[in-house]
Amino acid sequence: MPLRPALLSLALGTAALADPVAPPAPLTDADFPAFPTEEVELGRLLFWDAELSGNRNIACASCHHPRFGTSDGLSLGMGEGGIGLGPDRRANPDNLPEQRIPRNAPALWNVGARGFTVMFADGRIEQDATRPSGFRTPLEDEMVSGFASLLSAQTMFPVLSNDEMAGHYEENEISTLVRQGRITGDHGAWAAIAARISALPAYVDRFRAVYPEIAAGRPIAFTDISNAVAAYMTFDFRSDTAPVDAWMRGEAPLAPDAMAGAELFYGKAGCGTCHSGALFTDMKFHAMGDPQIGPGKAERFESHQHDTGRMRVSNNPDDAYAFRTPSLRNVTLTGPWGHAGAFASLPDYLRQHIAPGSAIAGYTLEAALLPAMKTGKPDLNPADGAGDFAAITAAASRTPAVALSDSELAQILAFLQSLEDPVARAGGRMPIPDSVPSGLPVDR
Amino acid sequence: MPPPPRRHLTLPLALAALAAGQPVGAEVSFADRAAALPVQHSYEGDWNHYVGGGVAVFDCNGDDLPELFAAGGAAPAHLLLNTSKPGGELTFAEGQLPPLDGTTGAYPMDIDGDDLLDLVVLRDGTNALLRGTGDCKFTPPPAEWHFDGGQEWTTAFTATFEPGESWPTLVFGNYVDRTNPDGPFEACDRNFLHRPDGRAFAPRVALEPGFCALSMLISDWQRNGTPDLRISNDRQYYVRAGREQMWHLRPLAEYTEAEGWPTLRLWGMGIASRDITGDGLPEVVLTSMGDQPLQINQGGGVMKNAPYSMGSYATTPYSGDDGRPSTGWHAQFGDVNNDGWDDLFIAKGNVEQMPSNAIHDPNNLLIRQPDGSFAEKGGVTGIGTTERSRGAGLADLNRDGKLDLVVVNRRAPLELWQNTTADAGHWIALDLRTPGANSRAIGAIVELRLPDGRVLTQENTVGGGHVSGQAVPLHFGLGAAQTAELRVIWPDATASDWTPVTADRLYRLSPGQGAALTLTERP
Repeated sequence: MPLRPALLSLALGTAALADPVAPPAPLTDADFPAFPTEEVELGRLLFWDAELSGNRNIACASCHHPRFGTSDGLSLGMGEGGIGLGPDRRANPDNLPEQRIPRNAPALWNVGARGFTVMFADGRIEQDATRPSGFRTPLEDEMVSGFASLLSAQTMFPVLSNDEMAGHYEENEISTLVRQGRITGDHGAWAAIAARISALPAYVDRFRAVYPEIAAGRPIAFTDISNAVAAYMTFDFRSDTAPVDAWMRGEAPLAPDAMAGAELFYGKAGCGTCHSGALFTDMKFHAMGDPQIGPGKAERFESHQHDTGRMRVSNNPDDAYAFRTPSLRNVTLTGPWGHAGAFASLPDYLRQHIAPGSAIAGYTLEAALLPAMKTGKPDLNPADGAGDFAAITAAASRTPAVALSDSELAQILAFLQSLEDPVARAGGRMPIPDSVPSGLPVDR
Repeated sequence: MPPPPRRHLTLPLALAALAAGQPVGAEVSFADRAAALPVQHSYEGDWNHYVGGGVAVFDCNGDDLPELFAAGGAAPAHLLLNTSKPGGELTFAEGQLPPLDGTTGAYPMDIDGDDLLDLVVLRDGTNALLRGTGDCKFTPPPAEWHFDGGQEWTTAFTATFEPGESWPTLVFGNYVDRTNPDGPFEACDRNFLHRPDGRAFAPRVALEPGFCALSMLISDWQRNGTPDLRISNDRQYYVRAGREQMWHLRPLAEYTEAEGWPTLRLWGMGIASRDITGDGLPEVVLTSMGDQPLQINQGGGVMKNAPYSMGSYATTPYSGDDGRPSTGWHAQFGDVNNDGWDDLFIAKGNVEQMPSNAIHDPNNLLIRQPDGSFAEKGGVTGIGTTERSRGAGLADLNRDGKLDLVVVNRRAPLELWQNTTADAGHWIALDLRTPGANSRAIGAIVELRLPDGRVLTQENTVGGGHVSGQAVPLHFGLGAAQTAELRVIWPDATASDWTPVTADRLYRLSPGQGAALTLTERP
């Protein structure tokens, strides 16, 4: 039977002696749905296959790459129309991206855990008991059935985004359908993607092997694709073998600096209030005053350049500029940080984060990591109607600042370092596939 | 479009409203009368009916109670005969229509000058003229009219009577050219102009370029006696090289930037036109996605976006928990509480499954306030339903002097709302008639002068909205005033004398001797 951490602290004579920190309950197998190996393997191929994108040039993995902590290493991604990975990503001169992705690519660690109930920085896909289906999705009551989990539902939407995966206008049959507003049904965008996959025998064989109904003759639906991808992400990006997990399980103490950081994290710095539990998120929304950079969450018919975060989903002005608390799992690997990736340095991010809005006044793009790209709107535009920095500052003023010394900040960073999982450093639990059934190149 | 400046409203009429002491604040209310409809009507169909879904409001049997023609898309169109008792609850019976499929909208007007309303029915396919016979029956147009209904996917319409003509000029606006193999984007069809040839139509003339028109309105917007053709176009399909258009009718030419028509790109879906600033020049609301711009007519052919503080932009849903941008369709001004200030209705609804836009998108009822701004009352009046609304009509359907509301929804039932506002102000309704071909005085301008000196101006047009036309008496709210004076500038540009009228009546108006007006109160 493992020792409880408080006991360990006592035994080791650390600073925890005076005010022992009770760690959150650890993750266990019960926190993760289990999937057959064949389904995980099928999902892996799909996750790495650009066949799912309209122009067959971008896979899920292109912006959620294990080399970059399952993110893309950029402040704001370059989706459809980008070439290369991470900081080397650049615009394809033959298919120029129209704009940057408006938000930082989220990391995927533990997104398949049962406790991961809110997807995307604005929660536009989330468990919601007030809705008849039990879910909120962007299609509301038009949403199809057949997705096996919230993560599967989430997987159904990046393929529809022009800037992420679908492509633009009439470039391909999927982007055309999306722009027409045709998503579900036999003539919708999801059916068009499923038709592509169904045209590849290597996929069909695998779908038949995994899903008995398909073996019995049911056509492959997009929900089958998203279910397999969700199974893969759940398995491959499970991360619960970091030093912090050993601490939570009472198997090993944290290093002294990390333990001191834990005491701050759960103590006077107040981090643990929102970054709570073993997923290090409360799945709620908070206005933390990050500078807004990039095109903003604006459709092509909107002239503004802001991102009101949760408010754009909830329609509640109290949610203005609030974003879902991100999980801190492997946070040291997932930079740049902030909903728009405004900071490529984690210490810099933390300084702004403990004093919400404090970095706005002196912010410059030097702090970000943005590959060169011609954009219609300036990447930094603090004005009213653009980045709306004044409004962000006002929203963040409701969150009290915390005063920490540099050495305390370093201790918190040491604690965050303890959230880094060797499995994540190794790029997940499965290798990158050598090839995918479409034969398209794999972004390695 | 650059964002309008955020500044406070400083329109002169704001002060005027306060000074006049109008009985503003009458709490608007509507009662749901959909149960009184004899059929379940909804606008249905695949992609070719994502747009459209209009309703025509017009009296086809001469009882001064307007009927409704509702387009059905892939579902049947319906004619709904108004069986309401004046002042009573709205009731309707089903009327007879010739078989018509693929209808997108309709506009009533008198084509052949027999003083009976005909119906221009827009279709995905051959457009139809239905000749009214006065008893809510319709016959095909005589062959000698030489009407070419085309084959296009028609989604907009407007009409006028040009000087010296005894036959109307019609303009049909078309959406995507579905025969273009490179479509559907950047594949907008041409629009067509049908001019008279005596008492028949000459071969139609293409208006090029077309940019996927969803609303058109011929209006004397500069009040210079020369109406122009405004076309609102949908950028979702023209994508790049398109714009909001204004055309000179004679000679036929598009306004250019060089003559001061700025390039404006919208996801244009509907036009509402009404002078709301009191200078006699009509403002316009252009429905779109996100912002629903209200442009204030500056005179001299210059339109300027109203400030956001005016409260008319209706950018996102005002209720519910969906904060994505709205999608606007039919827009129409009308004074729903008869306080003497025009209000604004906007139909809203997702195109179909556009994740960028609100799925539950409530219709707007924007009530004009004493300071000149608009306040949203769609929710409190109950009319703020969240279906995929398209066409609509604000019209007095039971002759109680209050504007009722009909709304066509895609994939959801037709809505019928009776205006039950308890303490509405006084009103007047004016049914304009002229002898000769233009029996309904299309192009006339009515000026109504209130006792406080304020002048309300309405132009009698055919067109605008979202594929939804009305041929009903012009309705004016008078506030506390029980009398007013009015004059008419007839389509031939002659102005009548100012003539006193008494409130709360429906008058039929026609030119009298000299500059006199002939007023006949309807029983």
